[in-house]
Formats: sequence, structure tokens, C-alpha cells
Amino acid sequence: MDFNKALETARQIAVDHVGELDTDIVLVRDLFGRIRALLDHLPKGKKEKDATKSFAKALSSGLGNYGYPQRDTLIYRSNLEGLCLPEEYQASVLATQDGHEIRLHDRLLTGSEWHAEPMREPQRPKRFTFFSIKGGVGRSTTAIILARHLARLGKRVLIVDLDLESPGVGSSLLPEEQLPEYGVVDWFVEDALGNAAAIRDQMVASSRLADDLPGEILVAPSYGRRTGDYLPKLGRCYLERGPNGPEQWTHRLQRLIELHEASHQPDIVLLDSRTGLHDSSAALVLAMGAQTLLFAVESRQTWKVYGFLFGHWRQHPSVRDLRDKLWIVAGMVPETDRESYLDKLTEHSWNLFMENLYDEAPPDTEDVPTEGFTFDLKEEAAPHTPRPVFWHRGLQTFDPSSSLDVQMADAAYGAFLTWFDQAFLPEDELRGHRTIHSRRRSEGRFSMPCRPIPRCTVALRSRASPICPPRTQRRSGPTRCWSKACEVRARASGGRHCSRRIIGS
Amino acid sequence: MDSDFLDTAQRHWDDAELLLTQDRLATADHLLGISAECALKAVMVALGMGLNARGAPKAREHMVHIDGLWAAFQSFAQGRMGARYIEPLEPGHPFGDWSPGQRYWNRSRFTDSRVDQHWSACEASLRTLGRCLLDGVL
Repeated sequence: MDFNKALETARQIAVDHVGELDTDIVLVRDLFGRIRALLDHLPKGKKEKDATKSFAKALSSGLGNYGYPQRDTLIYRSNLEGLCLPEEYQASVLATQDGHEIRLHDRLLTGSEWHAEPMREPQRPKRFTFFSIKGGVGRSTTAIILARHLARLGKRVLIVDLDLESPGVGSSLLPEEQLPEYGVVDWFVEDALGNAAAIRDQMVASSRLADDLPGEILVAPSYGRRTGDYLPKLGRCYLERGPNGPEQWTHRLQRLIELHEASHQPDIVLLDSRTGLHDSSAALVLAMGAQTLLFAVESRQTWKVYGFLFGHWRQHPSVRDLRDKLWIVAGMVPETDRESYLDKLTEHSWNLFMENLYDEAPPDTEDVPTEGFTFDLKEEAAPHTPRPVFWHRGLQTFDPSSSLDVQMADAAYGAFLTWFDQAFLPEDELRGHRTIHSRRRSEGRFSMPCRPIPRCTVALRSRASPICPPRTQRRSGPTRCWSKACEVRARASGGRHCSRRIIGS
Repeated sequence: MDSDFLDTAQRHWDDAELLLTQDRLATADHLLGISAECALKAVMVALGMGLNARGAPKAREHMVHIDGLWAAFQSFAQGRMGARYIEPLEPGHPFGDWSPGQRYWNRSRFTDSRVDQHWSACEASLRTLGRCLLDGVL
């Protein structure tokens, strides 16, 4: 028995027994990977008792090291009232059998954020997340160049340094003396104690990189001049508790970004994520409602790790709300043999999307044709098509706090910025800046202006897709209060049930 | 003595709830304090707190009721695992005005607001215990 086999074994045992048990089953996989089952109530009568005993025995003996002793294998909500056990929506459906659901509630020490609900509402201002699997691919520099480009177009840009373990974009844009008093880490520490208001107006500063431009670049760095010892604050940043009680980290981050947006009224917000599969990156990719630029270089590591991530998202109940906000960016495209390099990168990127997020064409496309989400390998407007940032010698010595070499920026970023403008900025906002784009068009294949983004260009029967099953109805709403006393009080008074709500387990 | 902090946390909570349905605040308040103490001690045992032969905490600073244990728990629970179980608890000291000797007080001294505060804190302690149970650490 190993970790992978254990879940399939438990699922099969549950499928075999759910009919006799005649109740939904929640399989709980603990921090070690061991699995037991949560049932609603203790068995009543001989038939139910026999069924639960048989189920417990099968789970315990079938799972080996990944099971619990038989007497601890089953837990019951009715026995554990007050302990705030997970609601149904906190468990994904593994199978449906005999009219009952078998669900998995997964307990993770880290990484649970990669299963977070994507934000569906369109964001004003527009948000963009910069994410990469590995460092040194030009992610933060691209954010800086893009910020300057947008300021040149008259935009007020807010750039937030959320690479807390390796802060860079903030300090790159703001020399020490221009840093604000406090940074992101200070906010998380103060906010947990309800003290964030004391620093809220001292966390953002304006970068001189946009001094000669019509727009402005506002920077919210990870740390400020008065942050002091950084590590003790960093070590407290990911606490899932806000001023009003338990609160998911993604919600805390949303509050921080909304606070900055309300205070500074930016047109566009750029969120620089940390590298790799960290919870904070998940929050930025999934929960900010942001368009996400996924930086890639042509390496086995890149595609392997993106494969892990995209493979996980295949099971995401809201994958359809997530997948059309992802865009591959080719970082540090080498000077030589660009065409062949980008061809390889395009192919790997397309495979990644095809295997995980694009709808698969069903064998018979004549029935019930509906819009599908899939793109050809060479489709320029497709999410998988890499938008190139070319390696340039000048980038090695680029200091954002001093002036920018425009020629260097144009050579390295021309194609990328052209795509960005056309994809995300309304046509009327680009008037007066056409000469730059016209010049870039002559630079080759990847500097051709992209067509407007036609999403879902191929008509398919997406409902038949084995990759993206119909979204499971999420059972949401306020979590019930477990207090019996409150129920009784509410009934007696004819009033509402207790106002205390369980926020989550 | 065989301590079973998981069971006693739930048992005292259930009894407190029962009393609250009849507005018997005084004894309910006492039971809420005991329930919260047991819940936190159950989590501390799961995180490695040693017990003596009588089933009580070995360390003197942990051999206390909830009025002393709330802060002691926050010092005890360190690192990533500890943080998981601190999160549901408020950083203040909601049981600072509670003591086991108050069971000798007159019932008129137990106000709604006082019991509400202890109810919320006890519920948070049980939430922590629930996390620990589902995590398989308990």
C-alpha cells in the first residue's frame, strides 16, 4: 500500500459499502495520508451496526499503514458536535453510488490554497499576477517594464511585491530612501491584531521610474524603512487569522489589495508572486480574479512542475472560471535559434493545456454543438501560445531606479508589450501610441500584433469532455452553528438562529 | 488517573449547552471553562506535552485551569503545526476573568455578556480540537 493506492482503495471500499450503509460517506485523509470515514450518526439497529462494522473492518484492513485501527476508523458527526467538522462543500466528490455521495476531505499542511475558489467577478481595476515555476526567468523585471510601459500610456499602476521570501520588485523600484515606512509583511502582522489602520497610509510610495511619464508607478514593497527585523515578521505572515477571527489567507490578501486599490485608485494592479508552488502563489493565481502570466523557459523542470499544477486543476470544480485567465509568457528567449526554441516551447505549452485544461474534441461533434475551450497548436490568440520576452544583454545590468534604456526595452519586450496592449487595453486607450506598435510589427513572427482575443474559437460539445466534467454544484451558504443551545433559544424566541457562524475548519 | 481530554472537552460542552437552554448561566459558565481547558490540553498532548502517571501535565506551567492555560497554550504551540491550532483562538485572554472558584459565587453574578464571551472562546477551543482530530494528530 502506498499513498496513491490508499485513496483508490478507500474509494472502492466506500463504493462497495455505501449501499448497505445507506448514507453519504466523507473520507477524511489526514496530514499523514491516513484515511478514515466520517458518517452522520451512530448506527441504529442490528442491520446498520453490521454494515458499519463491516465497512470499518474493510477500511482498516484494506488500507494497511494508511488506515486507522478498526475502532478509530469511523467517526460520527453526532458524536463530535461542537468540534466544527467540515461541511459537505469542503469535500470533493469522489463517486456517486446508490444515490449517495462519497466525498474526500483532504487535510493539508500547506498547498490547500491551490484548490481555492477562483474569483468570478470582473475586477476594477484590472489585476495581473506574475507567476513562475523557477527564478531568474525575468518575471519581476517584466512586471517593472510593463509598469513603465503602462505609465507611458498614462496609466496609474500599482505594483505589489508579494514575493515575500525573496523581495525584489519593491526594492528594485524604490531606493532605500524612497521606501515607504512599512511593507506587506508589516500589514499582515498588524492586521492579525486589528492594528492595520495604524500603518495603512504608510505602505505605498511612488517610483521615480515614471517621473517623466504621464502616468504613475505606485509601489507596495514587501518591507519598508521601519520594518526592522524582517524574518520574525515573515514567520507570522501566513497566519490564517484576521482581526475578527479565523480567516483564510487568501481573504486576508484580498483585503490588503482592496485596501490599496481604494486608497490609491490605480488603473491597473500588478501582483508579483513568489516562485513555485507556494500557498501565497496559489492565492494570487486563483483568488484575486487576476489575469495570470505564467512564465516559462524551455526546460524539463518547467513543464514537469506546470504539469503537476495543471493536473491538480483538472479536478478543480471551478476550472472553467480559472482556465481562461492563464497566459504563457516565454521568459529569457535566447538570442540564437529563436524560432526553433519557441517552436519547442509552444509544443510543450500546448500539450500542457491540451492534457489538462482544453476541452477535448469528442468523437462525434454533430450532436449538441456548443462552444468549447480549445485552440490549435499555432493559434496566436491561444492561452498556450508563448508571448516572448527576449534575452538582452542590457537586461543584465538594468537598474529600474535609474533611467531605462528604451532601445533595450523595445528589443526585449516589444512583442510582449504589443500583445499585452491588444489583449487587455481597450482600443481607445491606445490611440496616440500606434507608432511604437507599428515599428514592432516589422520585427518578426512573434512581434505581429495579436488578434483580439477570441475565446472559445472552436465549436465543441464541451459537456461531453472527459477532461472538464460539468461543474459540480457547490453547496455553500452560511455554515451552520453547531450549538444546540442556540437552536433551542432561536426556536423559543422565534428569532434567527445564532449569529455566531463557524467560519471554517 | 486516565485522562481523556477529548471526551471531557465534549462532555462538558454538551452539558453547558444543555444548561444554557434553560438559562442556567452560572454552572454553564463553569463547564465552558472546563471544556475549553480539556480541549486545549488534548491538543497539547497531541503536540507532545508530556503527562505524568496521573494523567496530568508534567510541566507545572501547564498544570493549570483555563484562566492560566489560554496564554500557556499560545506559548506552547510553536512552528507550522502549532500555528494551525492557534489560528482559531483569539489572541486576547477571554478566560482571564474565569476561575474554578467562581462555582461558589451567587448566580446573579453571571451575566449574558460574560457567558457569551466564554462560549465563543470555548467554541474556538473545540474548533482547534476538531482540526487536530481530522488532521490525524490526536
